[in-house]
Amino acid sequence: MRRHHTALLALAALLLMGTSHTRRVGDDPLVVVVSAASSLREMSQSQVTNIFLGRYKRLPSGERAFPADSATEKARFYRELVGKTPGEISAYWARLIYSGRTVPPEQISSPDQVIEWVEQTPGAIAYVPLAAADHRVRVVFELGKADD
Amino acid sequence: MPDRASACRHFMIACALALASSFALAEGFSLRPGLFGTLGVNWHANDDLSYRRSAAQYGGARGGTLDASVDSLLGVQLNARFTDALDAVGQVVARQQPNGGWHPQTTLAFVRVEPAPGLQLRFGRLGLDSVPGADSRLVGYALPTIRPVPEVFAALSVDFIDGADITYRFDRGDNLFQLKAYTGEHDSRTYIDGAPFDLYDIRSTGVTASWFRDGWEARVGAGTGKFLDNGDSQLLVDLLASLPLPSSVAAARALDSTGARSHFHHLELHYDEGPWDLLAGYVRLINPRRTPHLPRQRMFHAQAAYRMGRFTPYLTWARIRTEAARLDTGLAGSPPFALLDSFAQAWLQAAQFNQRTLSAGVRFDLRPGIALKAQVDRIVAGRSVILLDERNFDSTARRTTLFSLALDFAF
Repeated sequence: MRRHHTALLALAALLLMGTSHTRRVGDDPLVVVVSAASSLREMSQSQVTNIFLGRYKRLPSGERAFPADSATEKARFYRELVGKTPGEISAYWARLIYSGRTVPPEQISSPDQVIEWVEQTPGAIAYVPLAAADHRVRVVFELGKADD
Repeated sequence: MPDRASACRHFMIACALALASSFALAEGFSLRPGLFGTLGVNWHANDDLSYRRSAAQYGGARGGTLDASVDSLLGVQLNARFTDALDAVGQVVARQQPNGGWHPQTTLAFVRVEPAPGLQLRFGRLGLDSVPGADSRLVGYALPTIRPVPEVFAALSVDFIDGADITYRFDRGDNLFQLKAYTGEHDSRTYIDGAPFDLYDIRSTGVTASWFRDGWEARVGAGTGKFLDNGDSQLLVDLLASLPLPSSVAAARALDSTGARSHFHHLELHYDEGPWDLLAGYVRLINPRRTPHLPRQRMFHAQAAYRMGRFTPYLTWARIRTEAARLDTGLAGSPPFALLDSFAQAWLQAAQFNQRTLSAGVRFDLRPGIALKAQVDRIVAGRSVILLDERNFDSTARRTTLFSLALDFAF
């Protein structure tokens, strides 16, 4: 009987470890941003997930969505958003790209370039560390906030 | 009829490519090349058996030898983006064909138009997006396993259709819904009982409805395949019809696929979030006209994968059951015509696929874009289209354990 309890506790611990997407203490939180000129005010985690996983191309404001990945924050973003590693995200997109279903988000190298691109592109949506979000963009979702 | 259908398909593809090229000089034009493939080897101990992953493959992995022909393939793709709402995709894949050759085959060639966010139309050669994974089955890197479960995909030798589809997505709160309809024609080449066959030209039409929320996806769908001709079995049908025996004429009518319809419906539930990747599905194939060589089939499949760092161990289980079929040509006891009866019975038996497979394996992600996999399959078959006997005929009542290694990549 005790063995069964130990096994159940171990399984529960494994599941908790696997499904928690909490961010590390001390990290500047990642935020999802759109242009400051956009009428969009906020988004839910599900809406952000649908846009960045290529499932949906329309922002809640009705505009066509143009998502972009930031090379420096990409691994952390997908780990916190859907609990996936870069390898899993790469495999996920391989399925969509090579079945001809859709194309992946724009790839941008740095947060500064991300901010510039979001400001200049109607419908653009991307993610940056909170500290990098300035007056040119509007924060519509903060990762990890729902877990706090 | 096959020539006309083929000409129509090529005309459609040409129109799609011409339309695409006319936009090639538009502002914002970009090209994105891609490469994917698998280098795979298989081994099993049964000297009198060959293993193949699909009925469209020639030969297979012989027992006691390492074979690299079953899972290996190479694909190249070019995405051309003309505007935000218009792009085109071309894809060519080299893999083992039913005649044993490795000549490249065009697997995608379409133009995509998005007149509004959430609405997408595609024209040309498209991946057959019926059951989940059907349109990406060749992309090993995208799968947790080395290959899709054979019980669902081995007999379905159709990868693409020449036609059109329309997809509409909309959200309600956190729930995202997708409605999709597709129609198109395809031929079906396979390798049966030691010879390559052109099966039938088929027009497939179907609808699917999907729901997404966070890591969850549920899909239901239904479709119809209308058989436009008899392919290489036309000679058999003609010979049976020419004999002055009511039973052989009735058998010819039963084997005549022209105009017959085969319906299928399916249901899948997929959870893919965090380290878990769980999938379960059910597919059912029915033929209202009860044509004996297009029997009813039921397929069940389930998959569980759990990522631990760069390792992802997985388990899959799948089963296919096919309704037994009988055909009385009245020729079995007539020596001059017994050979004709044996051909007819062989044609019937080629559609019989009763098998279950339990697979266990592990995926190791070397880096994004490259994965190494090892897999063991325990296959138990009543009659199988993927286990061939020494004559390269479908085997009956066999069991084997298959060991596989694969290096998958996608860039």
